[in-house]
Amino acid sequence: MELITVNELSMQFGQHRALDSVDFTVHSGVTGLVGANGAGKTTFMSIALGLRAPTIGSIKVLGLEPVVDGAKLRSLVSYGPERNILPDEMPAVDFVKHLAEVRGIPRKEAKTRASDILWLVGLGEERFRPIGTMSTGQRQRVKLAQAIAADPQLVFLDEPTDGLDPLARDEVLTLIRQISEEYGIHVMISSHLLEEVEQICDNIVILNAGKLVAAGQLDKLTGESTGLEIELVTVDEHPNSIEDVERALQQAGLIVQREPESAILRIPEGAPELLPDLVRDAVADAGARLKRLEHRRRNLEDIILDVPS
Amino acid sequence: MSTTGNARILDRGYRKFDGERLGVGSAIRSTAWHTTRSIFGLGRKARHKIFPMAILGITYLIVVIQLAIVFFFGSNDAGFLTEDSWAMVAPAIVMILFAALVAPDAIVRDQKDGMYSLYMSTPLTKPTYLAAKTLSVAGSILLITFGPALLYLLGKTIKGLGPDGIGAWFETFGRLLLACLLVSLFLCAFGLAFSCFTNRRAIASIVVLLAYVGTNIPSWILYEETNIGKNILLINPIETAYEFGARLCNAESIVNEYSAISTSMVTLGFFAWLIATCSIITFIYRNREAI
Repeated sequence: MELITVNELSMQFGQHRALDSVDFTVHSGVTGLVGANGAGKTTFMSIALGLRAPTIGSIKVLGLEPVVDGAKLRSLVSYGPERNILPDEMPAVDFVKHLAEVRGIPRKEAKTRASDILWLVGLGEERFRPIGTMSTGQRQRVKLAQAIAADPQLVFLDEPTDGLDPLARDEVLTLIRQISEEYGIHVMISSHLLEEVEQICDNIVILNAGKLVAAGQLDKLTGESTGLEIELVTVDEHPNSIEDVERALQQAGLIVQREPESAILRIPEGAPELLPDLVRDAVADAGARLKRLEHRRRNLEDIILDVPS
Repeated sequence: MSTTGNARILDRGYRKFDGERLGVGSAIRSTAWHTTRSIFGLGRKARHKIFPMAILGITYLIVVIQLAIVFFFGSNDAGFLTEDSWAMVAPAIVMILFAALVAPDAIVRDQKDGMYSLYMSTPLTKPTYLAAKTLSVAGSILLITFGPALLYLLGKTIKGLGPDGIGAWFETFGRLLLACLLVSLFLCAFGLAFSCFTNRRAIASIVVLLAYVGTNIPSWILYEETNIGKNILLINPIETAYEFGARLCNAESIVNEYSAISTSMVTLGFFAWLIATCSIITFIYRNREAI
């Protein structure tokens, strides 16, 4: 199911291009919108919510054009802001209820849903407490609760683990995964923390300085082999054995990457199928000792680092 | 569902909402009601209730005391119930104090506590958000402009001192309602326009008061110290609004000096200020980042 379709989307602020001809499709599940600060993540979310008209290009969210059908679209989607600032005096239950009402849920229904959702995110006992007295982790849960209380089809969460300790972060990420898997709500989270995106996302969109780096299913993008990694152990009797292995592989026509003084050799993509045999022979001939030989899989960091600066 | 003896904990879990979603009208109503509760300190700490409730009490008390004297002591010799109902609208300084308090509370808090971004992620748009806030602020002001004046009109009517005949009564009522509506809307626009520059509530209140003082004092200095003429008094927005209300109600000018200004000039001054303040709000919010 296509949730968001983006075609040649650009957003210009004066001389600054926040998004530059971005082109991708977001499918169902949890999608991570990844990029450093200033990559264009929040700008993209504001366009997807219909709060900004793109300079060039088009976007469709749930089949609707955000600029044209903004109000209708925003009754079907929700948003959890990045800033951890909420109305301090308001009890959590009133806050969640009010926003559910504004999103179109009738008053009585909003009241019961607000309580139920706060139980669901682990704040059942705390629901009558003013938000200002809550911890950062609890406030993040309140933000999550308000975002799902009106039963949206799609939720945008801007940096939902911002300011959380590792334990609280894991709990919030588990909740987000649960929202998607158990309640069928699609989620797009923006983050600059790669490990949390790898932990819970089905799809990713990577932005860098407004440009699209990669987009697609996470396991397809990160599952691609990037060659072979060979880790050797220096042998006292053969002090130059690692250099000998490196030289032997280069003489066999392979590109070998090695950090200075490192015992790890990397053979990038395009290596022949007989490579393991070549490595075995080179190691044996050099009198080196092999510690590890494995196909290297790309992770998100590799994808980002592959981008020319 | 788990049970222990007769006690049961009902875990409803997450439920899909299959009903019909209410539209933008409901979002406006809900936001306006939420804001009004906040303005009067309902659901908030006691200290937030003191000022709005005090203003509300004072404005109604003035009329209630007059009515009580007339009704319980049976005399209007002291001049009670002989004024125009428009005269019972709270004095400008009280109204501007109220506007300086409620307008920042209605919009500045949203900036500060992140509610504005959240509202913008709902079916509300900038115009409908401002409509909700206007409904709330103008409605709150209307409560202390129209309420006491209506009470006074009813008291006069019961005592046989009101307008002659049903037609005249409804005309007086209609004029009073329209005047109070427009003046409340004006005070709302004035309050919102001068408080939307900042996200600090105290600063916003001070700016609103300074805007009042900054137009009131120069208008009188220019009027008294120069020969520009009486029309210069129209640069004072609040007195102009009050005079416009008085003209609509066919009532006497609250400030004598305004009586010599023509009705068309007062009307022009009133709408020029209304358009100016609305333009400020529109300009600020058009350029305001939603998220």
